[in-house]
Amino acid sequence: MAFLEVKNIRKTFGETAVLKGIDFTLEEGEVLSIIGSSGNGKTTLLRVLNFLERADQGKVLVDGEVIFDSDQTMDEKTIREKRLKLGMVFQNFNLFPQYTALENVALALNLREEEGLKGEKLNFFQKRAKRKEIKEKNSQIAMDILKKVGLEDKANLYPCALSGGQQQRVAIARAMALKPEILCFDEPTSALDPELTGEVLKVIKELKETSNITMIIVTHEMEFAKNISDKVLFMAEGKVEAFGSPQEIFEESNNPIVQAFLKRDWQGEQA
Amino acid sequence: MEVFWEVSLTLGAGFVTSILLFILTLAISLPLGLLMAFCSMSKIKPLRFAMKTIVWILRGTPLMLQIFAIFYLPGLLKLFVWPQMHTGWEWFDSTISTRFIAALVAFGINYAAYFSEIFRSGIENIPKGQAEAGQVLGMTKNQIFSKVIFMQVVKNILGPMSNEIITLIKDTALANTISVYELIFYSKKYMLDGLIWPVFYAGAFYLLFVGGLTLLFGWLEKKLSYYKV
Repeated sequence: MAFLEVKNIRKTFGETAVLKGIDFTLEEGEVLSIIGSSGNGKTTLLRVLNFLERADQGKVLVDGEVIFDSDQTMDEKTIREKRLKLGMVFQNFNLFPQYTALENVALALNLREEEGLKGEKLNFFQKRAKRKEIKEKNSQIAMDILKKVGLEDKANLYPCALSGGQQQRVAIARAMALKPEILCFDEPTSALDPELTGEVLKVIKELKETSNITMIIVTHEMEFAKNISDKVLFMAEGKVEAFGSPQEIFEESNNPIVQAFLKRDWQGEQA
Repeated sequence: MEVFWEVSLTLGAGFVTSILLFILTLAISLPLGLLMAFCSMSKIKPLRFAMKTIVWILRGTPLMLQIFAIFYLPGLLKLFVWPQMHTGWEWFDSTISTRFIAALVAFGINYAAYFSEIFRSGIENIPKGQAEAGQVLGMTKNQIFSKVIFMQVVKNILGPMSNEIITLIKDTALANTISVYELIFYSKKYMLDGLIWPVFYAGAFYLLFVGGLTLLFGWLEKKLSYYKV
């Protein structure tokens, strides 16, 4: 049994079928790149996995546990627990502008632990002390994660004072803080100036080398996908057109659609 | 000089009522406006429609008319429809006048309608990605609104809000139409007695107050300028 099993995911927006039955599996610690032209459902697939869209049909299992099943309705609380198995890094970073880099990383941790305080019978002052304790502990955790993405010296800056690449690195740290089992990236470098993509890709690469986290990356950076991936999934028109090792997809594929895409892309990069 | 002191004291007392009306109106209309904003963005269609209609009526008719409606309607109902209806308590009327209450209710719902539209556009202008980022981090809807969205909305709406709030202090003058003893009521009284300058003097009260408000909002804006939405 594979670590991540995605079974027959279908999603329709109005009249348009965006996902027409997606199936794939992934082993723990593997890095999957999802490639293909724009508008072929790559982002929607990530959004379905992260509960930002509800699939019309299909099943998702992580480590044997059902985290999504279109035949079941889950209440919000269950969804909140299940979705934490996955983390998400957005194309546009989506950092919270009113918080510093450190606060961005620590916020969700603080909120989760403060929720736990509600059940305890504490008076106002005890609660305040507990909150302070939680905050200090999580600030330390957040700082350690920021160190991993090389931004400990920017911890107290607000997102508007950071470059795009730095913002995306904070966003990666923020997603890592909740210790997801699978980290998803939705075109993490598409919103960046070309000279800034390198630092973000480097952080993702280091993440792969230093941790055993499973990653799913939707990307247009073919060279990067080729180097970092254990598996590559090629999507076309809402379907899995090809799935295999980078070698199989980039070098050995005789699928005409894949070949056409890769050819165009190489040319595009050279132009 | 003695006249000046007397006028100052009387107008001052009137202005205290004006400010009280101003503060209580804000206390009612800000939360009510937020609630109405949520209703007008609700997924329930009838609720949304009802709220849009209410906002349309409240913004589409003169505030003075609304003050009259709220002040006179109970009496008219008693007279023609429901003779047993209770319209007020004497002790209550002698402490806080029912006139003041009527004006407060009218201002409260009228300004809530304006505020609700400011809140609504402020909330809708926050990029969807902010809420989504909160969702994937496992936050509840309430946490997303209070910890992520709200402060950004506050920053977004500070400009239109300060406009509306400055208008409110001057609109309190309308309460004199149902004889609430506020600033304009007293200055008008002097005018009818043949003393014209207190009316202009009253203007200075508003001017000074709005000056204070302007400084306050400028300070707030500066305080929130540490981040960009």
